[in-house]
Amino acid sequence: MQSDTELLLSFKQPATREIAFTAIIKKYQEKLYWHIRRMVVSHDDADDVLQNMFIKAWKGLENFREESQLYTWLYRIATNESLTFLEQRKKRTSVSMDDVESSLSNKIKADENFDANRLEWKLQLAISQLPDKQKAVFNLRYYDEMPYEEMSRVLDTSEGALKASYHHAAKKIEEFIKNG
Amino acid sequence: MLVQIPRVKVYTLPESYFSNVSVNVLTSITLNAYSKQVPYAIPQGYFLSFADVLLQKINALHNTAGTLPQQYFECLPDKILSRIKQEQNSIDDELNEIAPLLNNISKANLYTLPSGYFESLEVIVPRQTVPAKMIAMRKKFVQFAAAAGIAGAVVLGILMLNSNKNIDVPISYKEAVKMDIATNVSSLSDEEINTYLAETPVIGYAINNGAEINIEENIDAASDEEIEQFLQEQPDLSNEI
Repeated sequence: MQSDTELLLSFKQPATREIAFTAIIKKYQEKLYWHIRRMVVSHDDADDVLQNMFIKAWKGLENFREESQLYTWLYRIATNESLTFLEQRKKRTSVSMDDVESSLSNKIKADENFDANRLEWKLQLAISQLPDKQKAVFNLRYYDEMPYEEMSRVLDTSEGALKASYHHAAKKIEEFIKNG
Repeated sequence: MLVQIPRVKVYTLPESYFSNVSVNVLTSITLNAYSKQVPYAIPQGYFLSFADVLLQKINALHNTAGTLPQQYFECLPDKILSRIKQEQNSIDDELNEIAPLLNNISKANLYTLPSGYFESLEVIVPRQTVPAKMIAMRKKFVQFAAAAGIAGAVVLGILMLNSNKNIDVPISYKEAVKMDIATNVSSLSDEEINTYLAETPVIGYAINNGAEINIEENIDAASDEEIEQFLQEQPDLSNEI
């Protein structure tokens, strides 16, 4: 597999741009898909957000200055697209925060493999109750095991704030599971 | 005659010259003695072997640039794994402190995925095969023509009723009202549209008389079928959107 530097160099040449972009998609699609899916829950929504995210990446890659890792930059776009998607859905349906969270819960419960007795599914329900940005923080740390330093670049938030947010999220989730 | 010249000292001296003479002389003697002595000692034969020692060090530098520590690559995976475990331990320790229950829950993916999703994932990136100006102009023209046709027909109708002005109009009011704008426009080439915009006075007249053409309203006025049809006729434009 080519390194990010090689892929970016290849992308900047018009003749190899599409091949390089396809390689970038293949390299990062799964990680980014699951990060998005954990935010939006539904596969169809995750597919939409993933496509939009890569289109944005296509447009921005030419000017990508490599001040951060390509991986961190892609994660940043994916997170922002997911947050924007959730925000737009709230505005489109003109529902309250509680209604949006319950609609995410409903989507989880609608999954063909859903089992209310399993701790893993209770965890998903608990995560869906979190505010969107806190959800992103929790998922990045818990599932992707992202260091706070890197997360700070993805979410453009201080490490201290991220640690506090993650700690609160973890406690809330634990309470939800114990009481639910 | 010499006897008549007064015997006085004509030359001057710095003040307190003689009182400082002895000190100045002694200081000069002492300084001269110090300047010839080097207080530092050097190892015996230092300069004799200096060139050889320096060459050895230069050769050693060149050799280091192309060499690796022994068994570097053999040990590298373990080194990296050890760092990963360290990082992992810190994440587990953190969670054990805040919410230990969560450390006992499996992180396996629960959500289902359509079979072969990643293998078949294709991102359709924006491509620009028709120059943007032409697309924008054609799109704008469709709306301009629709609105101008209506505006022009209304203006002509008013003028004909008033009959106060003698204006040479290209079409009659009846013809303008019956005109199927969309069909007529879709059959035109881009060159014909450009020529029409440049030469036809009707649209210019309508615009100059304050008949403002609101593009957004015109797009809203078009039905979904009309928009869909236009996009199908312009596949590259649909990708652009």
